[in-house]
Amino acid sequence: MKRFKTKARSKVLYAAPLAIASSALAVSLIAPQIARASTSNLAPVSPTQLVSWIKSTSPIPLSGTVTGTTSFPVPSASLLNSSNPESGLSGSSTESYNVWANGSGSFRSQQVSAGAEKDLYVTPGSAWLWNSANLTATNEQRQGSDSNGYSSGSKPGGATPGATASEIVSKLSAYSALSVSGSTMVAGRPAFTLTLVPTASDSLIGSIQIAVDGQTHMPVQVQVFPKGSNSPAASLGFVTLTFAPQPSSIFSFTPPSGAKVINGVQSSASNGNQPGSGSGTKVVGKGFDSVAIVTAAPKATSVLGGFVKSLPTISTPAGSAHLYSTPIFEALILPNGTIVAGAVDTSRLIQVASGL
Amino acid sequence: MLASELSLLFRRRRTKVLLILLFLAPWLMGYIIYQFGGGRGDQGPNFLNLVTHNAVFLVLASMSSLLPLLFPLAVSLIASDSIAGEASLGTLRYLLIAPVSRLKLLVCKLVTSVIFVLVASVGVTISSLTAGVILFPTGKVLLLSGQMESFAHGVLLALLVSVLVAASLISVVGIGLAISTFTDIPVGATLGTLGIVILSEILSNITQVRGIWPLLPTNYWFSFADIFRNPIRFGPIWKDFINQGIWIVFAFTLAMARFLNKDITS
Amino acid sequence: MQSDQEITQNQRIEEAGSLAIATKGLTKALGGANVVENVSLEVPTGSIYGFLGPNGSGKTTTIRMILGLVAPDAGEVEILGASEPRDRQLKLSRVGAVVEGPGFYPYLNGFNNLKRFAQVAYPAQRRSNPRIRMLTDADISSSLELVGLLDARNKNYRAYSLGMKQRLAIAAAMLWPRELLVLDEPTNGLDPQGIVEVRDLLTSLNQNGLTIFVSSHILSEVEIICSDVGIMGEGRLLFQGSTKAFRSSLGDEFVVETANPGLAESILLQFGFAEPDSIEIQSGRLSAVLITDEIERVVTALVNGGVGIRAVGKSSPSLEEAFVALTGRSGHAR
Repeated sequence: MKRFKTKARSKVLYAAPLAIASSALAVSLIAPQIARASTSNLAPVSPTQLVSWIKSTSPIPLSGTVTGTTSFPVPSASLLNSSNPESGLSGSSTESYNVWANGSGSFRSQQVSAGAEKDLYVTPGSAWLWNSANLTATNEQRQGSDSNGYSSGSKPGGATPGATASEIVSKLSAYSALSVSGSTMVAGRPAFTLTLVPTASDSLIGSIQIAVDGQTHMPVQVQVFPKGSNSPAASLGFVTLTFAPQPSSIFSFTPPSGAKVINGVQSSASNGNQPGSGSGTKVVGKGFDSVAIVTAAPKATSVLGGFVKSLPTISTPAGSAHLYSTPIFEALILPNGTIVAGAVDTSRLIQVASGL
Repeated sequence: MLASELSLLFRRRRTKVLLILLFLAPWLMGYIIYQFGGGRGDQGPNFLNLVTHNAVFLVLASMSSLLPLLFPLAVSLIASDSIAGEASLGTLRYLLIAPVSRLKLLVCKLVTSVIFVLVASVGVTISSLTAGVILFPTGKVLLLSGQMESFAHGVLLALLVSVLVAASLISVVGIGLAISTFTDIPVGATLGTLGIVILSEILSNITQVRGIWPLLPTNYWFSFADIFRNPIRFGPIWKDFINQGIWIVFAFTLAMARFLNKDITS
Repeated sequence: MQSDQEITQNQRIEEAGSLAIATKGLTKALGGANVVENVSLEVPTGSIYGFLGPNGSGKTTTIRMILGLVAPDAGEVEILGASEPRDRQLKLSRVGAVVEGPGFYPYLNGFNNLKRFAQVAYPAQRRSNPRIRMLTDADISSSLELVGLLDARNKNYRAYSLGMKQRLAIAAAMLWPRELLVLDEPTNGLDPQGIVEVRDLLTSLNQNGLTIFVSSHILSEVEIICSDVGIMGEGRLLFQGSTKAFRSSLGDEFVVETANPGLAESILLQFGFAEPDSIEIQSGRLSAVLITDEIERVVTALVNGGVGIRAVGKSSPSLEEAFVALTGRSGHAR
């Protein structure tokens, strides 16, 4: 009889599934950190050079995905979709949308949800807001757009990093200490970082960092840091970005048959939750210290009613007010509906409110 | 061997009942929508609001309602029966001494379950299209992004959906097969498989574990709807393929390690 | 059945004196305790080997190790001359087996069940004999006929009686040309008539050249047909050899019929002819296992001691008694 150990089977076979499971876990948990930690080497530039790039951004054909994140609850996200504003108020808030631009005035943003989407189609001379969930096409032409992209508050993809950065730089660079910090990577591309540190000491904001693409000089990310914190309280930036010509089919839209067509903003009650519409806004102070006083329209307060009621109250000389407090700004909602808000602490807001 | 497996599976009454139930679901759904309308349809990926506009959307509506539970249930019933079912009947030992190699048996069981998934998915699509054409309009098809395409184009997309849904269920086949090699009780294997699917669906709603979302087998299940967009959103579809690929390789190598080492005492 | 007779008889001539199954030091622990311990079987080619032992003595685990279903913790297996796993796997195509009862698909009828196993076994059959053809429906029907199930061919397996199931399992084991049959408790659930039929079937298959390895916990069911036996108890092989050798290994019994068995006992003890616990007395009859071979001296002593002898003789114990004695000594008799 040949000598042979019958126990030929082997536990070695378990090595394969073990290796697959552990490498899949490792890749999914470690890869994002590696991507975050990676840096690049761009030739140094001066802060003024960066500021001028940010201010004079010209449209470039591109496609990408923009993600906006706040470390605090934001009511507007839930107001878009639901009649119950309190449903979206827990923890942080993240919103993503895809954007396309053809470099000559056409722009599209697309907010995708499971089995539905909202689109903003902007071409020179027309602007449509499309919602597949209720099959409505809203003609937004009257609101128009600017060269930096489309900025209209709570619309999907309304705020692009470019438009936001440009606004911040033009309004706040005079009140900031500017510096260019080490090169970072945004959406996998090398980028410069312009840091704005408030010269005034009583702002809640510690710094604002604006990343500018190293190749195209387009602002690709804006991050707002609270005082004394290393993690941004609010951030808006590209997570994927490709500069390339885009086919015109991406931007073409005519309301499909069977869809409900709404003209203008007057009739868009379900979409136009801007507290600013039909209201008066006054600004007190300058730069980071400025406080906005918004005399809210009754419509806005009623839409925000549930959210406001969920906020804590404090007593002010103008009566008992609701306080919406975040790491980078605070807002007082006075009994008469007036909103006093700014990137300052509560005592400053009360001071402004009592002067009304 | 494969032919024998297939005839064994599809000759079984349980398999036929499962398939008939799956194929009837679109008719029931279509009839309810036909009678009572699509509802507001502003919540979740149900496409109900679109079904009354075009027959093709009954495919999407059916897939959306079957994918979370009924499809995984049917697939885990079949896949988890692969080895555990043969073990509980006592046929496993006779297959192995026939002799059939253990690896070959495992591969045949995997392929058979995958074919079942394809038959179920394509069948549901054809059944949905048939019901849709009878009950609803068949004109131009609206994409989620707002553009209109021809009906033929819509039917083509619907058939692609059936392939994407089948691909999304590959992980369930693998998990079922793997669990099937660890027990001799088919019901236990089915419940275990279904349990993992449900756990995955629960975890995909918990933001604290966002880091592992891309690894969850159900994470990209609804990516099939992305071919109804303009431009077609391939990102989640590729991610689903990669995800399902990782799961099937993991599950099959685990099943292999277990089954090739297993003492057959049933 | 094709040409199995031809093949196996040629094989038998080639391998005269060889072993169909050989194991060396087979050991297997399940759930912490050794279920099988150091079992070395030698099953001669052409024999009907009775693998006997009470339930739980390790027979089925041993059979599973022989057939490659269970991996031994230690020891070697050789089957039809093959010892490497790949070769053994291939040789299984020449082995028909019934292990721990029948296993079939309840939702298929008898015919389709056999067809399923014919289909799955075909590739291996082809590998060991490239000229072999897939079994035809007629081949399968004749297998059913062999075990008397032709009339029940279209009945669902689920509706079969226990005896029918057992017979279908034997038919499945005989589907293809075989050299060796491994049958684990093939008579379980059969009525006495069925047991006789199985025995006759096995005898005729053996005459056609098949080696048959048959296990049972009821010795009387198979002892008549076995040429060789292996006795298992508590996971160990207690005895192995020809049936004849097993019988003689136990020694004969001395039997004397007398009106005075008590006196006879005291004389046997006084002369030291037998141990006290080997002596058994029934009314007018004494039996004992003698220590000595000289029966003449024993008879003379009894006569001289005044025991009136009506009859005297030797009796061989039945295999059943021997079996109980052997396995009972290890505390496992049932």
